[in-house]
Amino acid sequence: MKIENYYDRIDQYHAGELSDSDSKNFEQELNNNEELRRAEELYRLSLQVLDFGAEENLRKDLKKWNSESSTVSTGGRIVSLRRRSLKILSAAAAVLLLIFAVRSFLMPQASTDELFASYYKTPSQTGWRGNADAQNALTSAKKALAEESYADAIDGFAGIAPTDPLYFEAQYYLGHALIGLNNLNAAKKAFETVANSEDKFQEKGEWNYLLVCMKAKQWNVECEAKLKNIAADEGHSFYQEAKELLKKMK
Amino acid sequence: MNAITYTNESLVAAIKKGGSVRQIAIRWLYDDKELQQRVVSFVKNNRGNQEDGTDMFHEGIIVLDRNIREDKFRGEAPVKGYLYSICRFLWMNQMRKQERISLVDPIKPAQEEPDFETPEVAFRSEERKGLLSHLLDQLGDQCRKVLEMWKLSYSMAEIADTLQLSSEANARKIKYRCHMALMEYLDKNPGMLEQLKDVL
Repeated sequence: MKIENYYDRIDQYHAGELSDSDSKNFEQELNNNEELRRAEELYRLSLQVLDFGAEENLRKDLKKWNSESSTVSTGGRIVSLRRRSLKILSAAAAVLLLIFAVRSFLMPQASTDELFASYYKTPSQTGWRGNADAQNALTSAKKALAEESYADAIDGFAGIAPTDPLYFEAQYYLGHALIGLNNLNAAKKAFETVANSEDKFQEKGEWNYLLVCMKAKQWNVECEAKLKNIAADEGHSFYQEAKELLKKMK
Repeated sequence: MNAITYTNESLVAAIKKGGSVRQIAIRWLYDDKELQQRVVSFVKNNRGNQEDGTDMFHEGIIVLDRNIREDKFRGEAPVKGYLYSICRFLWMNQMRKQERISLVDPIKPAQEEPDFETPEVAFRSEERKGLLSHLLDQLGDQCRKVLEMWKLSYSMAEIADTLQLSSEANARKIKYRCHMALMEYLDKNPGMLEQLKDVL
């Protein structure tokens, strides 16, 4: 049975999106079409499965809210401690300012070079990496990956921020570096991020996600559905490979 | 802290509407400490402890949510009173089951309590849970999240936003693919399908 032939209509029927007459036609067809009846039954049963999942989620939320509410008093304490620390720091800053102001009258002035040297610290890499730096980081990380220095490569790729245009490319290579360290779950996640993007690496992400599913022995209906989708999409860069793989898996 | 208040009708409507509106309404109900305390006191007075009471309050909310979504709550009683009755029933039911297992110091069921589950039904409940969990496990993480949110009437925009998907269209595509996959799995496993029909 090809469920996809019926899915949209069943979905619309259950969502109440069919007109009255279409709805009546659908119900009549349910009586006469065995395949449609079967597909509709599968649809209904699958909703029950999902309902159970939704209940499990609510159970988790309730537990989370419960643990949050039991730590409320601690939270309040943290805030008051922070306020206290701020007061102490403010007082200290005021004293330092006073000393600095008095010093200019009482002590000989230091040279600007000395002042610069005593106050200046080179900025750390985090937080000031622009696009050019991201490109450099990506290049270095790729080099590390080629040299099989996986830990260095991971550091480099993971340091590229989600807001950076190179993020998905970095995630894609990160997936490969994680495979190098046999951290397959994390690799899967990195490829999934790429697969869900609209980046030029998206199709590569989809394909590698599937390969990791296999390697991690986590093949499931979702992976199979994704593989089928690629194998059905002639425009996909991994169309041929997916078709072959699908054949071999059968 | 919580500026929203609900009447019985608006609370039921919010839960039925689903999505984040439902989530906020349930949170509001959960935040009623007085009601939670009433449930906990009832449980403590009937051989339970604080933790049992909290658990019953949680289970009661889950049943209430389900009953409202499935139109089993007719709105003849105030929602909070109804929730308290559910919690009370759930606890008495649990106590009855424990008595049957341990046969120690049996307690009399309260006169007004409706029929309790038989041990057979309790076994079937466990079976149901195991089967449904197994079926959900067949879905990957992303599929599961998308489908569960869709089932709770979250909009595709909300799903895309929460799960950081690239677009609403992508969320819809994933929902279609995953739902099809689940239905196909059931179709290809007739034994499991029969079991499922049996436990639901």
